[in-house]
This record gives sequence, structure tokens and C-alpha cells, in this order.
Amino acid sequence: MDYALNELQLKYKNLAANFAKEQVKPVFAQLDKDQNYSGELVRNFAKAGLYNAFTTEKFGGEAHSPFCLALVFEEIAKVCGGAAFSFFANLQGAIPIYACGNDAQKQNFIPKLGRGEAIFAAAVYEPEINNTDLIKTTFTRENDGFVLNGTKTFVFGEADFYTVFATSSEGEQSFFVVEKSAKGLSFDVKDDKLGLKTAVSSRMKLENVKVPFSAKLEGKDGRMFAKMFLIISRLLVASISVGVSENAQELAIAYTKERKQFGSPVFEKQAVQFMLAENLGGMEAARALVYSAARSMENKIIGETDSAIAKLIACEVCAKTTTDAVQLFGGYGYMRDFPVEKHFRDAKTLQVLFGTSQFLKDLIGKQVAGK
Amino acid sequence: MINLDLSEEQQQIQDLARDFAQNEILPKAAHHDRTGEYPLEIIKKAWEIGLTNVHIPESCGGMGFGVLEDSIISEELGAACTGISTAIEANSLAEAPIIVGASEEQKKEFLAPMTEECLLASYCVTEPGAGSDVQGIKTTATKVGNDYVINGTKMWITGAGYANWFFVLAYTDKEKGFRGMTAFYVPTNLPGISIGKKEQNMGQRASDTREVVFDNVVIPEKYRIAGEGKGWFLAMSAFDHTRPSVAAGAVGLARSAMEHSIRYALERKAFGAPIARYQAISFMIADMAKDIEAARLLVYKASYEIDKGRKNSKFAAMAKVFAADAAMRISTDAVQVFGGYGYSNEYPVEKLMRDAKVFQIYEGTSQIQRIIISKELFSRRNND
Ligand SMILES: Cc1cc2nc3c(=O)[nH]c(=O)nc-3n(C[C@H](O)[C@H](O)[C@H](O)COP(=O)(O)OP(=O)(O)OC[C@H]3O[C@@H](n4cnc5c(N)ncnc54)[C@H](O)[C@@H]3O)c2cc1C
Repeated sequence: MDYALNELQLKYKNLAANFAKEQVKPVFAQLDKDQNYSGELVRNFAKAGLYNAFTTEKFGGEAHSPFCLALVFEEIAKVCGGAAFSFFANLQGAIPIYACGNDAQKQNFIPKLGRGEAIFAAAVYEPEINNTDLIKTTFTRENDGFVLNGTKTFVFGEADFYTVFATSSEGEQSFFVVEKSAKGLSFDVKDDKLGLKTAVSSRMKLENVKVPFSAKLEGKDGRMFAKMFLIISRLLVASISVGVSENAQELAIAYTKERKQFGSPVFEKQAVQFMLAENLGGMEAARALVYSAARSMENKIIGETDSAIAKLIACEVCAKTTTDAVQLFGGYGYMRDFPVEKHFRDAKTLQVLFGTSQFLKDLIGKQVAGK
Repeated sequence: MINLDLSEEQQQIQDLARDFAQNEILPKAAHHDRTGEYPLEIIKKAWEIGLTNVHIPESCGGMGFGVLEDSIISEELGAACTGISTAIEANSLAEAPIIVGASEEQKKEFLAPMTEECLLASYCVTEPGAGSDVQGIKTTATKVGNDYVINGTKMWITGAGYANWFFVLAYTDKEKGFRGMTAFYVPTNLPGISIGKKEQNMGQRASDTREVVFDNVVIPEKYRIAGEGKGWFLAMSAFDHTRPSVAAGAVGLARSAMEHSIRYALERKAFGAPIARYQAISFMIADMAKDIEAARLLVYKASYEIDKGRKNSKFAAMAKVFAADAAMRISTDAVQVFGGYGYSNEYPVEKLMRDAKVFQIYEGTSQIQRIIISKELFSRRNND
């Protein structure tokens, strides 16, 4: 299908495709197997200029383009969803700075992202809490700065800076940039996740972590932004899901064309072709939704419903496509040394991050009801 | 009239299996999933209390249970861990063709020892190039004097690393197509047999899946089961006996996914109420319950038919595909019920989903079951 991509979009799509082929492909299987996060790979991704679609020239980039980013993550995910997620997690940590920081804060951090000089991670989610309004991590003002206390989950990657979302006793919500070396910061559980294994995630503890006044992102209200943060995250997770779907689908097509049973390639059986046809349809529909939501966002339309629908459909399609790919590979699909097994696990993990299907349907349903 | 009550004896079997599953298997399931370690100790205990080899005839020192009893046990063991229950039940699949087609003398020789000592067996049919298409196998057995010489490679053989003997399907006469296939009993300690490394499965990781290579393996004629050319029939009829209990294992897995979901839905709160109060969750769990009931009834029906001495291939296929697809759907939904936390290995439903997938693949894929069902429907129509 032709999505009428412009020059800039094509440039990032191709850049990402090359990076995926040259740098991700040779290493991803081992990283996944060992559940290893590769900071080096993330920095190389930055050095290849792939975060430049996030920042304008003022901060060392080229353009602030959600659409280009969606294309980039999709391309990477066509090789490895986990690697795409680890690049995304770095960006995700920088998003609050870009959105809520003042000029000095932005100048201090954002160019470091683009040049691969620092890795970021968002620390937003908390155990047992799926509504950012209710987070329990606190910040209190003291004479020489702020003190943070609380526990965060699903903190992805091994970062130099963590953007921590916290609440004051008066109910003010803000993001704080916390250095990894800050005293009182500890990581206790490395999640043994089903998928996205190279995008390691941990539980982070903040015990009387002191940060200077300048660590607080002051430019914009944090509470409002938390919502925006999730909207962007959902869109980009949806784009990763589209990439994973395509990867699984391509593998399934190639394999069933080659695999002969009963004297002919299994691809020739109608049941097999229908499965692939249905999944191709689903995948293109998901892609169209992602691109459409990304275009709206590009035009500064805050499409909460658009991004929720894109994520809902893209993740459901991805779960089905990857499950079917395992089925079409038969016994080979069930073995860890064949990549479809990994796509299946990655897909399920993508589906539950930043809003499960039920959560998203709830959100969309409320929009439908006009609440 | 129809009666769906289990007999007193069947209930006792169910209780025994359930106790064993919950006390001996469940606590160790996570460990075996993580490490992939073969559950030898558990298998020994299951053997001691009589939960394995249950359909070996009384004449061979066995219990002579029907397929229904086997299925009742399988559901209970599967509810604790299908990786471990698959390892426990691998014997049944290897023994089934012998029970169906071997001579009395052979049955005594091959099966009686299984009841005297905890021995293990595997079913060696699949090959790298032949899974669904069993007639596409390449393994050959060539008659030399009073012996047969076996050559070929078998793939994804459950329990191969620990088996004392194999059931092997090979061509004695390739020209004759499936009528040239013959079945053999092959002790694993013979020269020429090499066992590959353990595969890293997505799920059912304790079940020990391996490649087996036969390189000029010489076996005496008396290890041939039934006549030359009877192998296809034996290998396929084994499935009529085992598919109901494999389906029952899937039912057990699905049941366990549902139990976890119910418990979690009552515990976990969102927007001030347990998530069980939301229809998004409660309807999903209602669907789990209805599919589990339907799958179990199909298992019972498929078992009942064969225990009555009637051909059950169609029902066995129906039970297998329905239960496998249901287990996959139900465990996938359970991961959704667990939401943001379902994806961490700390929660058991993630394992259930990985375990469930293979029910749609082994003992005939879901597609193959549909072929079996539809073929029978169309051929029946011709005879009516
Ligand atoms: C964990 C595990 C344990 C196993 N244990 C054993 C064992 O103990 N002993 C043993 O002998 N084997 C065993 N197997 C092998 C298993 O039985 C085969 O994997 C299975 O029969 C499928 O064969 P295949 O993998 O070659 O898939 P293929 O036959 O190559 O099929 C590939 C895909 O094409 C589909 N397909 C094939 N033919 C058709 C058709 N005509 N119409 C429509 N769709 C079709 C299939 O459904 C599947 O989706 C095991 C496999 C696994 C994964």
C-alpha cells in the first residue's frame, strides 16, 4: 500500500531500515536470549541520527515529527521488537524533558539524546497503579532542593538519567530528572518478562533521593503532560507492533512457501492462505491507523482516542499474526532458536504495556459515551 | 438415557490425581519451567502411586484403565503443569500402538516391565521433513536375515533423553506407500542410536524434546509390531487412544488459567472496585468457563466412544482441536486479565500461555484435526 510518504519521512524510514539491517540484525537474537540490554546499541542508534526526528534544529536535531518516529520504530521492529523498544524507552525518558523542561533544561539534556551521549528512561508507572493521577511517589521541598520517595515499575533500560514522575502533598505533579548515581536510588527487581527481553525493565526504589531545584521540569504542568506522554507512548508502541507483525508475517510467508507436506508447499492450502490473507489485511489496517494518528499528532492534534484505537488494533493484530506464525511454522515455531517464537512473546508484552486492550477499550468507550 | 456422573472408582482416581498434581507437581512447576529440568523424581512418584501406564492391560500386570480414566488423570495433572504432565504421559503414546497391535507375547515382553519398574518410552514418528505428512517420513527398516536395520532421523521426540525404548515408525517398502510402513519396538541402548541435545521449547519446557538418529541400528524381527505394512494403521490408531487425554490436559491447563483469573479478578481493584465487577473481565471469564465445560464434554464423549469399542477418530480430533484452541484462547485472555502484570514471569498465567501453544501443534496440528473431521464427514455422506 502507498502511504504517500514525503522526503523527510522516507529518509528516516530508510535510515532506520539500514540501521536495523546492519546493527540490530547481527546481535538481537543473542541479546534476547541472554536478556541483555545493550547501551552501546542504543548509543549507536542515536549516533546514526535516528533521534533527530524528535528534536528541532534548536536542540541539535532536524524536526519534531511523531510520524517519522513511528516509521523509525516500525522499521527497527521489523527486525527486533525488543531492540525497537529499548530505543523507544530512551526517547520516552527524554520526552518529558522536551515537553515540560524550560529552555535551559532542554539545552542541557536534549542534545545529549541526539548525540548518544546519555541514555534516558521514564519512571512513571508504579506497582498496582494504572492511573497516573493516583501515583504515590512524593516530592517535598527542602531548603536546598527536593526529596523524592517512592517505587516505580517498568523502568526500561539502563539509563544515565531517569525522569521521575512524582506528586507533592498538595497534589502538584511534576517530572524530575534524576541522575543514576543519585544517593538513595536503587533497582531491586529485574523483571523476568515474557517478551521484549533485550529492553530490560526493573523496579526502581527512591529512598530520600535528594535532587537540586534545577531537576524539576518547570516549563509545563506535569499532570497535563502525563496524559500526553501516554498518548505518544501508545502511538509508538503501536508502530512497533506493526513492525513485529510484518516481521512474523514475512517469515510465515517465506516458510510456508518452502515447507512441503503432502507433496506441495503448505502455502498452497487454502486454510494457510486465508490465515495469511486475514493477517495481511489486519496489518495494513493497523498501519493505516498508526499513520493516521501520527499525522494528526504531527498537526498538533492531541488524539487520545486515535492513539488508543491505533494501539488496540495494532496490538491485537500483532498478537494474532505472531500466534499464527508460530502455528504455521509447526514444531519449528515452538523452538527458541527460530525467531517466530520470540515475536510471539514480544507481541504479548507489547499488548499489555501502556494500556491493555481492556483499558484502551474502556478509554475509547468513554469517548464514545461522550464522558 | 445419558449419565455424566463419574463412577465411584473414577472419582477416586480423580481425587488421587488431583492430590498428587496439587501437592507434588504444582509447587515444582515454576522451577521446571525455568530450568527445563526433566521431572524424573515426579515421574517416579507418579509411577509409584499408579498414575502412569494406566491403560496397560491387566494381563500384563497393568490396571487396564479405559481412555476415560486416562483423561480424568490427564486433566488433573495438566491443571498443575502440562510440561510435567506431558513428560509423565509420553509413555502412553508409545505404548498405545503396542496395546492395539502387538501379540500377547510381545505385550508381555514390552509392557509388563513398565509395571514392575519405572521405565520410560517415547513415540518416534515425526522427522525434520515430515510432521503433518507422516507418510513423508524417510526412515527405513531393511530386512537382513532375521533382523531389521533401521536408518533415519526423528525429530522433536518427547522424553527421548530418558527413554528406555522407542516406538519407531519406518518404511519397510517405500513403493507401497503407507502400506509399506512398519512399526518397531526399539530399546534405546542399542548401538547406532544417538540422541540430540535438548531443544529449548517455548513452553512445556520440562518435557525433554530431542532429535534421535538411527544409524544402522540392528533389531531382531521379534521387535516388529504386527506385520509388515501395519505401521501406519498402528501409529494413527494410537492417536484415537491418546488424543482425548491430550485434549484433557489442555482442559486442565485452561481450568488453571481460569482459576487464576477468577482469583486475581476478585483481588485486583481498579477505579475502586474489584475488576471482577467489570463486564470486560467477567464476560471474558464466563467465556472461559463455557469453553472449558464444552471441551471437557467432548473429551468425555471421545473417550466414551472408544471405551465402548467404537471408532472415535472424529470425536478424538474434535476434542483435541476444540480443547487446544480453547486452552490457547483462555490462557491468552488470562494474560489480559492480569493486565500490566500478566506479562511478567512472576505470574503463572504467562507460562500457561506458552505451554498452551503446543497443544495446537503436537499429536496433529489444529489444521490436521480439521482435515480428519471433514474427511470423515464427507465420506460418511457418500455411504448414507
Ligand atoms: C514440544 C513438541 C513435542 C513433540 N513430541 C513429539 C513426539 O513425542 N513424537 C513425535 O513423533 N512427534 C512429536 N512432535 C512433533 C509434532 O507432532 C509435529 O510438530 C506436528 O505433527 C506438526 O508437524 P510439523 O511441525 O512438521 O509442521 P508441518 O507439518 O510442517 O506444518 C506446518 C504448518 O502447516 C499446516 N499444514 C500442514 N499440512 C496442512 C494441510 N494439509 N492443510 C492445512 N494446513 C496444513 C500445519 O497445521 C502447520 O500449521 C512434537 C512437537 C513439539 C513441538
